[in-house]
Amino acid sequence: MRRAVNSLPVELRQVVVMKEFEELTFREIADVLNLPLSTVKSRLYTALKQLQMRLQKFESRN
Amino acid sequence: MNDRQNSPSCERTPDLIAFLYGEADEREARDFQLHLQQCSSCREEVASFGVVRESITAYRDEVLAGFVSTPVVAQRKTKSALAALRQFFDLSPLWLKGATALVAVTFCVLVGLVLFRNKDHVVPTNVNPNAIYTGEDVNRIVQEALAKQQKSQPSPVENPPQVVAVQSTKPKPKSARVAPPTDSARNQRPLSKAEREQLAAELRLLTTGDDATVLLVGDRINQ
Repeated sequence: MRRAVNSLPVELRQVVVMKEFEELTFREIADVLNLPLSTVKSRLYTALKQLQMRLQKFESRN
Repeated sequence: MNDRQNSPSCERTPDLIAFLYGEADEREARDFQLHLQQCSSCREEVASFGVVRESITAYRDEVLAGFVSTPVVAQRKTKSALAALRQFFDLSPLWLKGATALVAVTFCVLVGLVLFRNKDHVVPTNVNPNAIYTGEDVNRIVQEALAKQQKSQPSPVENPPQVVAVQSTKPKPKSARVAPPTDSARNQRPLSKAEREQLAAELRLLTTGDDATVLLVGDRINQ
């Protein structure tokens, strides 16, 4: 999971970290990053999707 | 290819994310649950994202475990000094315990020596500071002290109290009375004329508040 998170693009990784690690709300993340709320949600969706794919890849390799 | 894979298969991905993280309000959540019953792709994504989130949570706990020691350290700081000392001795080897005990004993012995030496320097006196002495008592004590001094320091020169000499050379003021002399005053060298005059002036100031009861030192000693 560490490798999967680290391999994310910065803009996706920061949203994941702020949501999952710092447990900020979407509104707080949007305020911090100065982004629309919908952008934050779509970035998190994209990040989860990429993490899901990478985890599947790692599992298939192992 | 990645973009196509990452592109949402349903247009309600923002609602999906809000529902997944529990940030949808009651009406939105109920509405999205109805949508889930009809949309298979959203159902699959909710399930798969749930697994991803579990992995992220496990990774987060693993990362944060490195910071768990912070509150433990803070708790240790609140321990009392005695508990910290006890813990230190529990963890220290035997030789360190012995060395510490030796240092403590040496320190106690030194402190005892210092106190004993200081006790020796205190001049024992049989004068009770709380007692009320009459003039006769004071004269007797002074005479005894003088006799002791003369015995212990046999000098060819007679060493009468200097204050007495002062009184004999100066005209005695009428009804002048002065407080008893101090030991240091009796042990001084012969005074010069100016010193005598100054001392006499000072002695005249030592009244009991009534000019008629002023008593010169020499008077009391010579009584």
